[in-house]
Amino acid sequence: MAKARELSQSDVEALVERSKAGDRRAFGLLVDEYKDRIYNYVSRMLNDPHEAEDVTQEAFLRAYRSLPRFRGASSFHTWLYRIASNLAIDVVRKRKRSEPTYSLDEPLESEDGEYDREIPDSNLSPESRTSTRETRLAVRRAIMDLPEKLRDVMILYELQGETYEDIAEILDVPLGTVKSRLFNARNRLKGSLMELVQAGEIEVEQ
Amino acid sequence: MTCEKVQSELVTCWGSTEQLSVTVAEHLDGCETCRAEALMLQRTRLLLTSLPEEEAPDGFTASVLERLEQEGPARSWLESIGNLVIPVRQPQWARVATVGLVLALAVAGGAMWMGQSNQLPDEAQLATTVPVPSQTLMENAELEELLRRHQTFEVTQPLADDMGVGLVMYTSY
Ligand SMILES: [Zn+2]
Repeated sequence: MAKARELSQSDVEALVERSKAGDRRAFGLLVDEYKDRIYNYVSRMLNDPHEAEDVTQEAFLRAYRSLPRFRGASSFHTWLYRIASNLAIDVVRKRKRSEPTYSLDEPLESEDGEYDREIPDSNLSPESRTSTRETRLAVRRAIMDLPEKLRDVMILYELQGETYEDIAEILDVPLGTVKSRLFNARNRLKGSLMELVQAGEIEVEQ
Repeated sequence: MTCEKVQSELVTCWGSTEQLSVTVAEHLDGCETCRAEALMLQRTRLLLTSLPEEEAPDGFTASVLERLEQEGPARSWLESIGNLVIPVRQPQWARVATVGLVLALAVAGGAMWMGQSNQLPDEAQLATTVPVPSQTLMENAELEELLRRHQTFEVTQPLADDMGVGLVMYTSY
């Protein structure tokens, strides 16, 4: 169900206080407010819808349990991102340990080859739909191919629209580190995607 | 200006030629390599931002709330205060002792407070809405209004268990 509008900052603060006091319906409203943003972020980090759902759920459960310790020094949303980021990075590292030969030839995707939660673009012809799908898969793979520290910053800034300052807080790194990681991430992404464009494997829709 | 420097500036602005300094713009006019670089960056950005946003699956909020419910009764505000008062890394006994003290004081205070209120509002009987006698908290009416406007989950079955603590089921619309 579509929401009427986003919650105001003061609504969020009031709901946080009520949730701290154990009010789960108030917390439910906070989950409603942030679930898509956190899910999208985690999903980009992990490229696996099922793991993304688990991690996003766990992030909210941990947030609820840790709320008494949330003192509002940072905003609720950066605090939430921080919890989600730590959990997502844990999964990435676990994967690295258990799958040292993780291959990009076997992309992590759902059985039908496409993400179930993406809305198909009905305006496109079947051919261009196929090429759009291939292009998106390639972009996802390129993002997954970034080292996790670059991937994190890239997703938060480019796809989630977070500011440098908020990202520095979420990842607990200096502002300069955020900027240099973003710079490196853009360069790497350009390298891998333009290679595919030049080889004619993907197209850029202007 | 060197190509290296120009290309570094191009990365920072994603190859956009709109807000470049005069020196960089002049360099681009005369340098095919850097123009190609700018184009590649613009294309990379287009590809990146063409990814559609993904949404949390249906019923997400309800299932988070269900899982919280399974973990036990809602955290009381006393417990919350206990957590706030006692540093997290304090040993368990210190936390328990302090919460015990708070509880003892609260029983007296709570009895007085309950005495003043003839009838609790309906939602106060649910564990999800623990009445908190504090002026800094959002009023129940305000919460109800927010829930009416925003909520995508529903409290379907308030069940009272034998300890008088509400067990609640959640579903999504
Ligand atoms: Zn040049």
